[in-house]
Amino acid sequence: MLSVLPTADVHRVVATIDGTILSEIKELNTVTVRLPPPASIVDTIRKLQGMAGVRYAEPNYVYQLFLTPDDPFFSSKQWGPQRINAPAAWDITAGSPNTVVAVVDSGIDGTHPDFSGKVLAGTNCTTDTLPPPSHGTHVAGIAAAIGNNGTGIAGINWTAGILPIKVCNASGSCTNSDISCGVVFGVNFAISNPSLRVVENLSLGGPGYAQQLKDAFDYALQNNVLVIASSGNDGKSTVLFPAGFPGVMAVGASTPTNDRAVFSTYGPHLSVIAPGVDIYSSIPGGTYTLMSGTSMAAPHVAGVAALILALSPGLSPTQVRSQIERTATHLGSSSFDPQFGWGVVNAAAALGALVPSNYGQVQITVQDNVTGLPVGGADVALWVGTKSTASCLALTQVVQTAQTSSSGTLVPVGVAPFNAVPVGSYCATASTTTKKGTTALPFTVAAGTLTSATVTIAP
Amino acid sequence: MRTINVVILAASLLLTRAMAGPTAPATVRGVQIELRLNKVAYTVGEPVEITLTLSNPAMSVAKFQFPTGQMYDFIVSRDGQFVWQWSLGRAFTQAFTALILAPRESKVFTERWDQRDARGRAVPPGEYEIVAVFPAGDVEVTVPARPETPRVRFAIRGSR
Repeated sequence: MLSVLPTADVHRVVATIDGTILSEIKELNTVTVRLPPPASIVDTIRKLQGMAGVRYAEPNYVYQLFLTPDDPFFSSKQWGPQRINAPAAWDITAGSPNTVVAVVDSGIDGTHPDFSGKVLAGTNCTTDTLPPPSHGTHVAGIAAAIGNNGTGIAGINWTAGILPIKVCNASGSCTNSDISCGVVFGVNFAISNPSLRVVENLSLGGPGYAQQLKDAFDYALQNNVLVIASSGNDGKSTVLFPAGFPGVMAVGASTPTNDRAVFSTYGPHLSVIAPGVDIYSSIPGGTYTLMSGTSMAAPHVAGVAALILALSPGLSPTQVRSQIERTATHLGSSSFDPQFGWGVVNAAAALGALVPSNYGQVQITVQDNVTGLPVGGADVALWVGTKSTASCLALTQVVQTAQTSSSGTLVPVGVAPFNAVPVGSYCATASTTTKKGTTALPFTVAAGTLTSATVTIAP
Repeated sequence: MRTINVVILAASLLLTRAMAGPTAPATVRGVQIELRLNKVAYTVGEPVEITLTLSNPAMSVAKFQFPTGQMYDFIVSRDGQFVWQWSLGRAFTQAFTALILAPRESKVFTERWDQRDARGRAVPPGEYEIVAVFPAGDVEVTVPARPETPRVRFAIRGSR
């Protein structure tokens, strides 16, 4: 479907794509166009959207023919895929084996029939060798159980590989060092397999900031790996870590009636919400059960992210994130709402036309005023809301915090990376126990670009 | 963490009597909770073995639900000042988790403290105190129950 401005010549626009007009609704300035084979619908729509005079271009969806998988529990037990509009998404793509969901969790039962042939060789970062509990297998099924195979449930992404990375013991406790080990393993897997796109799902959380974890997630984002994490189950207004780290997508839990689940942690860092109450999915032993929590919400989004990458493998993590956030179904307000983030994820809309990215990257280098050398371990904060666009005085609101790297292993010493900063104007402050400093002037973060700034600290 | 199911309550009681450390009890919804250390005094650097035992003496099933994978916590203090907490440096799976105790069943959870504080520094010799926290959904039980129950105290001897 193509719509043009009244001043544009629709025939000329259609001619540029070698299309054939099948029908026209003059009152709406729209035409239905047949594309010449083997033109890509997605590519053609993107081309049209960039042309002068085009109001919109979109697929001519056949709404009554959504693919309904034959998995027996899809209709009787599952509500999550339906609520996030996955059946309509499956009409576009149900996934690709060139995408991988890394389940950074408590291990999975790789013999489950709903995972047949799609479990990759993962790792165990813990000392726990007990059989996997239900949690990781349940999470993996939500994101990537095989759909339309006449068995069990339908995951959000039917063909993505599952990379099991065990970082939690059998009771669900996960040390920061094991989580870091798991995140880095997933990133290195992605680096070693450049033909695959990897999404890491972490259905876990805790209240404590840890620099080792922060470095691990920065390493992921810098290597094109999107990380999605549960916002937390304490029902409070500050998302837990790792969801709270800059660049990590924090996913809250929604109910069947599109409310925020009462236990779902929310706040300004929340990205989106997704089904997380009474979710039916796989557990060890080839069976299935209901579980609730933001643990169940995150893999819905991980599955959608893998669908997006199946369709558009060249997108960066922040582009995928923007695609999910800006196509989500808003709740509470017409834009971002701390209770719901950008809203309930909408899989079909996320596979539609690409939206501009919301985010850019920032690297703050902290240097000592005497030696001029980079300073590791300094606390860095990004601020918005300065009262003046010409100075960094009167800062009012911190949006993200980080520490400069001390080790230089994953990030250069003295550098604090911020990998998903909303576009806008910012100032940065830095401090150690003895010195502090501020950027001299505000700097602008543009979508999809890296902005660097230096803060010199002095007593 | 190790979890051991002991079907016969008497067996677990015999087992715990053989251990020599300080203990403290609490009760929640008829389930007995016991915090126990393996010794009253440790040499510097010697791991402190912590045991939390939940016992259901009733003839009916006892069930607790936790909002995450975390079923307990341990907090060490010295002279009323916070020293270490087991859950620091950890995350937990964010799915609701049930703990079910069959009639006359016990579950034993064991953890170890390596005598390092929350910032990873070796603690000095002295007198310390430990409490367990059982965050069971709508109730959060502290063991020993405050304020009426004696504290669980232990010592670290020697020099660093």
